[in-house]
Amino acid sequence: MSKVQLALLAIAVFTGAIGYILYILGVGDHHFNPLWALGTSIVFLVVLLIDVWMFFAISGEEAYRWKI
Amino acid sequence: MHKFLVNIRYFETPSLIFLTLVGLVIGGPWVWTGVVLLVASMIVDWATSAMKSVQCGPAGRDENGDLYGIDGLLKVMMWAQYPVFVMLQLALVWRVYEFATGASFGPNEILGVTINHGVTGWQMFGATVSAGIYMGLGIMFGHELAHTKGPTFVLARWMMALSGIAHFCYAHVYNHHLELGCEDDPATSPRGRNIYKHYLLSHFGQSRFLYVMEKQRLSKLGIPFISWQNRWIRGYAMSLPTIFLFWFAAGWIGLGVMVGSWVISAFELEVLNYLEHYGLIREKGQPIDYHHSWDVGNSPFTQWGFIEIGRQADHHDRGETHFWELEDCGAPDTQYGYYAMLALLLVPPLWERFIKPRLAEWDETRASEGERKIAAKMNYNAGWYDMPLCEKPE
Repeated sequence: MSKVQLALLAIAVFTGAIGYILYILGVGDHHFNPLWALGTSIVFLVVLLIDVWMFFAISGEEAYRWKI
Repeated sequence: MHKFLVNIRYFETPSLIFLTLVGLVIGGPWVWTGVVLLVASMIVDWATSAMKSVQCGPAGRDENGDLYGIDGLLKVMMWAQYPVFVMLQLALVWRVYEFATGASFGPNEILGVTINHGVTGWQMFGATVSAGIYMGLGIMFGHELAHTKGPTFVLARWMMALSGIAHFCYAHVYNHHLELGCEDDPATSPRGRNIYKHYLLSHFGQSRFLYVMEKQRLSKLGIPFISWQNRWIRGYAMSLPTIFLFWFAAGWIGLGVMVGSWVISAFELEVLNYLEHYGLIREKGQPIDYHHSWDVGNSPFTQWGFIEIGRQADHHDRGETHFWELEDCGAPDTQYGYYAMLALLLVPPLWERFIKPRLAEWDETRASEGERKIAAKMNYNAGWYDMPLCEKPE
């Protein structure tokens, strides 16, 4: 498994786990409440930032090197 | 009259975006408008690329040397895209709200226009793809504004943030324009890489550029990385209104629709990066030249619709020059427009068949000695053993 594939797997697992926790907590039942919706949106934004950071951290420099 | 026609032609894509917006608002089968327009654009672009009788030149100048492009009009046209994109996104939010809440089906007349309420699953899919396609095509206006400074640069960031890619504005100007044609530029695709892999690496690579840039900049200033002054974090935070709207309107379904439209928009951005420099090589440290970009012929449908981005070589030579001032400069030319080539690159073997002879010609007639050596190794690594230049790396 390449580092890029590993990074994608890590993102999928992390995002899936957070999504599952949020689902279990029932955040989807409160999305019409503006304050709840804002709070949950901020959580999603943080998850996005962590996902992108995880891709950098796991795939490293190697992913961008051209094979010459 | 000629001046009028030169300016009005750049309203091609804004018109298509507006039609897509109207389709989303009218609803019913009209939500597919964006998809139909894209397919039609591919067909028309193939035709206008091939028909030499309908080719068009740059916007150009009159006999006194004055530009035909009207500065104020074309700038306002670009700025005005932002509220249009917001409306497009709001229309999608409204449709996903109807879908998630199971709104009852039926027509409703508003100002003489029949609006179809209620959305089926299939129509929701069509609305998402349509909106994603034209949010993505709007990236060209964000790109143009990213080459400016001050408030219009910030406007470009907000435009891109609607699709979650605000990092592009910094990465494009401070990475791509300085490093293209070598591995230091994630937006340049090496030979043998398909669009799907490029999408992934270029997308994350450009974000990574800004991440590293901000890490270094803030460290020098003694400011913690996690701070509001971090432009990488701020860029993603600019997408918060979009995330909020989709989530507030339709919960998990809304979030899924938003992610779908983001993926399509970001894919289109990477399609443009892919087509503009695919397989071209520059030795590190050597200056960027015209032969490091692909021009895309004079298909009016592409050149007007993509506001002359197809004159890539001149754009890279004069990055802060407005699109209506760009000229032909004898760069390598694929002879086909972006819409036409998009149809090809979705099927990687077709794309390789199309581009390999053009790259072989580039190796032969355009590349420097150093670039030819790199090209030979890259052809080998790509498995292109039938290329005239092909050499196993040591």
